[in-house]
Formats: sequence, structure tokens, C-alpha cells
Amino acid sequence: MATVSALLAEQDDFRDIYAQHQARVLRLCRLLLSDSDEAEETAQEIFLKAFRSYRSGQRPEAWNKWLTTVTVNACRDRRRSSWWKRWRGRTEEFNEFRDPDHGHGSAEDEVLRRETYKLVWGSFSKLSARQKEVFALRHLEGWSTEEVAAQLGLSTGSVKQHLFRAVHELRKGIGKDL
Amino acid sequence: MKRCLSDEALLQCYTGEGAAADQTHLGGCPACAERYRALGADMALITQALEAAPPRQRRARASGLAGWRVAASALSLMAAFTVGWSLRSSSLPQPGGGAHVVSQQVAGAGQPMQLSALEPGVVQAGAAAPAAYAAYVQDAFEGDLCSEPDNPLEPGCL
Repeated sequence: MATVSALLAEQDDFRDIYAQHQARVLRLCRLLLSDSDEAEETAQEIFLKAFRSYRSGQRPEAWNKWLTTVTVNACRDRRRSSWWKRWRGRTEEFNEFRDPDHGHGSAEDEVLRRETYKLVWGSFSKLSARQKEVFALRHLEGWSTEEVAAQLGLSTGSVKQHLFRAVHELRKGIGKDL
Repeated sequence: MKRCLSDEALLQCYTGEGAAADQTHLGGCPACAERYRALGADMALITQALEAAPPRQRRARASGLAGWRVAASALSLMAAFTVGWSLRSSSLPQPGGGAHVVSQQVAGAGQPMQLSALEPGVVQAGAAAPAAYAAYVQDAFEGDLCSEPDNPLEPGCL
């Protein structure tokens, strides 16, 4: 299978789209899959799909929304197909954080920050798939409640409920019960 | 003054979807304002963690829960095989079934012996038939063989 970088060399015009959205798509994949390796593979597949669409002349009006929709669907497919990996079992422990922007504080601050991040990710990974999707789109992607509802096929009330439960669980996870 | 905001209403205010009355209350209630501030701080921390810290999960391939799952699966397979095998055996015709009855009778002390145990086919086919035959021969040499006095069908009783 061709890699995205090879395709980018082939088609310069697509490079801007990739540069503009790659980090966001990868972050969304990480959030929805809670696994860096799978997220990278999925993001790669998404941009291959986007590239094929681009080359065939099917270019969406807004790449931002199109890519987000494709990402949500791709992650959903990935979760369904990864039953074997879940069956093998894995710990809930997140033991490595690649965060080059931090690490300038004291060692104590750094340990505290890492522990907090572990707690947040631990809580986030325990949310239901729907809660993750709602939280990521509504809070992190900045979509409106109506847009999230339309994307996920839910009512606006249901979106609000999912968001409330997600926030409640995340705050509980870091020891800040509502 | 209106009662303090629920957690849900507070979150809606945070996301910019709060009712006008709730927003007004938030401006005049120090307790709700404090809760709102704490919510904002938590959300900022959560956002920072989720944006800046991609997780690396440590997989537990051959240990812990995975090991239990493999063991449970193996046991289930063995149990299924055993049950299937026993059902298969019981559904087959039992050769020398009559000899089985004879051997049980011989094994029981003082029980009458049936001559059908000595029929060639029965003796050869049944797994317990040789033992029954040996017991019969031993009894024949020791006497006290007759189940009924003067039974012409029993050798040595006449």
C-alpha cells in the first residue's frame, strides 16, 4: 500500500490540505481509539482516502468537516474490527507520554503533571464510544450541539446528556467530583 | 433569589448554551461562580492532558487476563471434546451386551449364572466375557454350580 508521504510527493496540491489537518485528525484518532499506534495507522488510512477522493475530483467544500466525519467513521470501524486486540487483553496503564512542549518545570511538577495526565487518559479511555465522540467533537473540535447531533444521529438533548456524563466521569477521574 | 444551578445547568453555561436566567444567577451567586470557576479549571486541565499527551498503552499479551482467557478457552474445548466423545460412544451399538449382564451376575455372590455367557459369539465379543468364562470354569471344577437342582440344561447338574 502506498504511503501518504509518497502520494504527497506525487501531488503537491494535496500537501497543503495534509499539513493543515494532519495534526487535528491524528489527535481525534488518538482520542477516539485511545491508542497511539492504531491512531497513526488510522490517520494514514484517512488521508489515503482523502487523497483518492482529491485525485478523482471529488473535493468537499469544507475539508475540515469532511475529514472529521471520515475520521469518526474510520475510528468506529477500527474499534469494531479490533475485537481480537481487545480479546488479547491489555492493561489500562498509560506509561509513556510524548509531550515535547513540557518538561521545563521542576521534577516534582513534572511527576505531578504526568500523574494527572495518566488519570485523565485513564478516565477518558473508560468512557463509552459515544461519550468520547460527543466530548471530542463538542468540546475539543468546537462543533455546536446541533452539528454533533446531526453527525452522530442523536437528538440535541442526548448530545447534552452524553457530554454531561463524560465531563462528570472525567472530573471524577481526577478527583474533582461534581 | 433563584436556587443554585444544577451541575448540568452549570455545564451548559460553560459551553455557552445556558439559559439567560442561569447566566444572570451565575453573575450574582458567589457559590455558583466558584463552582463555575472550578469547572473551567478542570476542563482546561482535561483539555490540556488530552491534547498534549498521546498515550502509549502497555500490552499484556501472555499474562494476566489474557492468560486466564486462554486457559478457560482450552478447558472449554477439552470439555466439549469429552462430552462429544462420550455421546458418540453411547450412540454406537454395544457388542457383547449379553456378556455384560452375565459378568455382573457372576460378580454378585450367589447369583445364578446364565449359559448365554458361554455362547461363542458372546464370549468373543464382550470385553468382560473372558472373566465371566474363567469364573464359570472355576465354579465348574469346584462344584456347587447348579442354580436349580436337576436342571438338564446346566452341565454337571444332572
